[in-house]
Amino acid sequence: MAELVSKIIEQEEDTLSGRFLIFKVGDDSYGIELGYVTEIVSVPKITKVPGLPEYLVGIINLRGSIIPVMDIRLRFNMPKIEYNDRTCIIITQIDGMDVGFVVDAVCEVANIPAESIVPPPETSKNKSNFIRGIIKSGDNIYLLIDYQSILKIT
Amino acid sequence: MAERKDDSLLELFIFETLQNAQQLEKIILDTGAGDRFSEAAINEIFRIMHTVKGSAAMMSYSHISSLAHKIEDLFFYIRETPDAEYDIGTVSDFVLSFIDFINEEIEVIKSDGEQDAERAEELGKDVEKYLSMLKNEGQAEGAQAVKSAEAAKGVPAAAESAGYKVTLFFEDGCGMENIRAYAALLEIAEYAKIVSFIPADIEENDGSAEEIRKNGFTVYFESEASYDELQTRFENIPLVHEVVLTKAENEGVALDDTAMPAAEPDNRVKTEAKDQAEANTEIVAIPQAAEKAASQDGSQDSRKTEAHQPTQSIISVHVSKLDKLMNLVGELVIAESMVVENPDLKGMQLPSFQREAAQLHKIVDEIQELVMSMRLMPLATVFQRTNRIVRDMSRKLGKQVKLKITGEETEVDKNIIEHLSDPILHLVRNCVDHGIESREERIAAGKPEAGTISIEAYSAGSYVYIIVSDDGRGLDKQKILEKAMRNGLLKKSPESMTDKEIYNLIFLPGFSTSETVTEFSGRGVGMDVVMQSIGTIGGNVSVDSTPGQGTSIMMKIPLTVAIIDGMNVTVGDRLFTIPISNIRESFKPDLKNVFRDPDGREMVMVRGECYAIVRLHEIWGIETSVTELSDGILVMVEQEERRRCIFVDSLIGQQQVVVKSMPELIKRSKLAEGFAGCTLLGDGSISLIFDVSWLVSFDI
Repeated sequence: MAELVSKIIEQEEDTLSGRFLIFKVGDDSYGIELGYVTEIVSVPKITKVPGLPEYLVGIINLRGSIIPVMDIRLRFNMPKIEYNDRTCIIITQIDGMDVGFVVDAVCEVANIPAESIVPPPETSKNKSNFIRGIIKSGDNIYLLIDYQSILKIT
Repeated sequence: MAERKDDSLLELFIFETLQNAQQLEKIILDTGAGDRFSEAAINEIFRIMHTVKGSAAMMSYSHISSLAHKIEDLFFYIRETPDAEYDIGTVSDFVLSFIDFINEEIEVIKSDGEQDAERAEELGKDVEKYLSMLKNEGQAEGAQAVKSAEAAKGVPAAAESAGYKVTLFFEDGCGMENIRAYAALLEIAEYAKIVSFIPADIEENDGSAEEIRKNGFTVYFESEASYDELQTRFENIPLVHEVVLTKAENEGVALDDTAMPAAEPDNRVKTEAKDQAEANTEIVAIPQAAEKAASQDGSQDSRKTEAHQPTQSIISVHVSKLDKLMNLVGELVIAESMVVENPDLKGMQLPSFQREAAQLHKIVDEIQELVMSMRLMPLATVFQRTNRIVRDMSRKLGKQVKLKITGEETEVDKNIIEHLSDPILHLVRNCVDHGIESREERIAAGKPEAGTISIEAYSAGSYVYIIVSDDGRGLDKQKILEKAMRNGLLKKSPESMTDKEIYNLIFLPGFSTSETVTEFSGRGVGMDVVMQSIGTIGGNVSVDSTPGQGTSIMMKIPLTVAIIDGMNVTVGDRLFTIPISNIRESFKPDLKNVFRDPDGREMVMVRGECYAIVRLHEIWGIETSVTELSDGILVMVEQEERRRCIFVDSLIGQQQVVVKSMPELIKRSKLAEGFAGCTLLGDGSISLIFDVSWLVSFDI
């Protein structure tokens, strides 16, 4: 019985491991482990909360739950643009917290084996602190988000 | 992960056993002052031991059950022997050790560890030894008393086996009397040698039930037990309504004669039984009546124990169900507003609809109050545990400490209680260990010999305040500074720090001012754990002290699971809610009364008093067309006797709002200080709820 249970758990983990949600912000594509994503929604009314840094654009009402929303563009110090109908909020649950990320567009779900992840190069770009790795998949390059640092609000 | 036979059964066992242990502890601590247990207390303790024994046996925890059995025996003896010379301290200690053992075993059981059967055995042996010592003393002295008591009943002292006859009547309408009689027979066989019984065909003939109903179930047996012991045992048989117990004298009623269940012998038995009845039997009333008589004696105590009996008026409910219920009720409140204040209905005249909506609102209100109250528990559950700690520690340390508790009826959500108990217990431990001085020191300082620790709780607005204070030696500023410096915890220069700031250094991780780690405290993990636990529930801790006079630690806990009355206001296009309990008044200011103080701060004069004006749109950079004071409204808010006037665009209206705490991410950042939480309004938009204590104290 015990082996059967652990096999099932393994299988469940397998359906999510190695799978990433790919989204675009500016010119770059980023990946986030599918296991952290709970849903993707279009941008509802965002209520601003005074006292927070600019990239924490506010909170939203998601079917009764209050979710804080972070704008990836602003977090990476990129120029802000008007939200259009491609703009989405990726709702995630990381470290026991619910967080939504505003992104320009959501592209696809990609299967990426762990071996294709390489550490990020040393660049002087603003966002390098938030990248923990780079994936090369065919012709595509995806930047992997470092959750710990991106969620460190000061 | 080990296999558990039945997780829910185990959970129930753990829950009930812990509850029983708590009750037991309370009884012991309450009795602590006297030198004998009241009758009600003995009965209650006996009852609890019996319950624990039974349920432990059912779950196959035989070490717990046999230990409980031994203590049960001890209390049985105490109950039956009114002048037993027991030492209340020793007996209390036994029970308290049992309680400790139970609590620890439960932890072990929860984590699937090794159960400590040895310890149970040792404790059991100690109890047995004490009991036999009591009995020996008792027999030497009390043999006379026992003899005279039984002589009064006309029955010789029973040291050897004697013949008895008992007739049991079961409760009306219990049904299947023959089966019950059979069960009773099995029980009696445990402590007596059964000679015969009438009717004899209880096993095969269901019709015998009718006979039992009419004439009772009669058993002839031999036993070494005393008359009283047997009496009590029979009374305790389930569903037994009446017990007629006769001791067979050296009379003509030879036990063999009545062995035949024929009609005639029955009659003979009955008439003879009647004669016997006149001579030396006692028809004992229903067990409950006996208890009532007993409880009238110990009137005060019985009230206490009766209050604690888990009667049928209380049931236990799984917390997850209550959580779900609370969430649903919260959504119900929101959904109700969404319907009643629906934009579709704007501007329409709907008198009948309004009436019904008001009715709906009333009902929803009641449900919500009820559900809220279900999850609330009085702080008493936490505060009472401190009694035990103070007793144990003061005994061990040789100090005299009094504990004063006020406001324990203050209610707080169950979640919060769980996070409060460790910190409070730790703080009390600290007070006894470090705060209160030894007797000699206190006398030398002109203080009363016994130190006092007070625990106070009260709710104010949307917070609950808990203060633990002592009248001991206070905090040592110098020592604290030295320790902080040694551990590199000083961020500012000592001269620039206020006394209070210095005292609050003790909450930093890795801090401890005791030179030695005592059994109770000093490991440097105490105070910062307190701060963390309180932080998890969104509260904060602070300490103040006067050297030589005492220390007091204040915890402020927000009631985040709350439905409060709020006033919705607007500033620009933003919505905010102010808790009604913090609002004193609101008004359109007369510009004549507005001026600036020497520091340039805007103030308004109201009935002779000056209050600072808080321009929210300026502080938070909110765009609004309302910048002139005369265009908006000033709301005077108050918290802890500090008042300010908040300038808002307009008041939308009063509403009951479900307080939702700020999202975890924002709470952790500690950046949105001005807000205690948020709420959803009827149309789905979010309104931020002000933290008034921040509003009245931040630097403008």
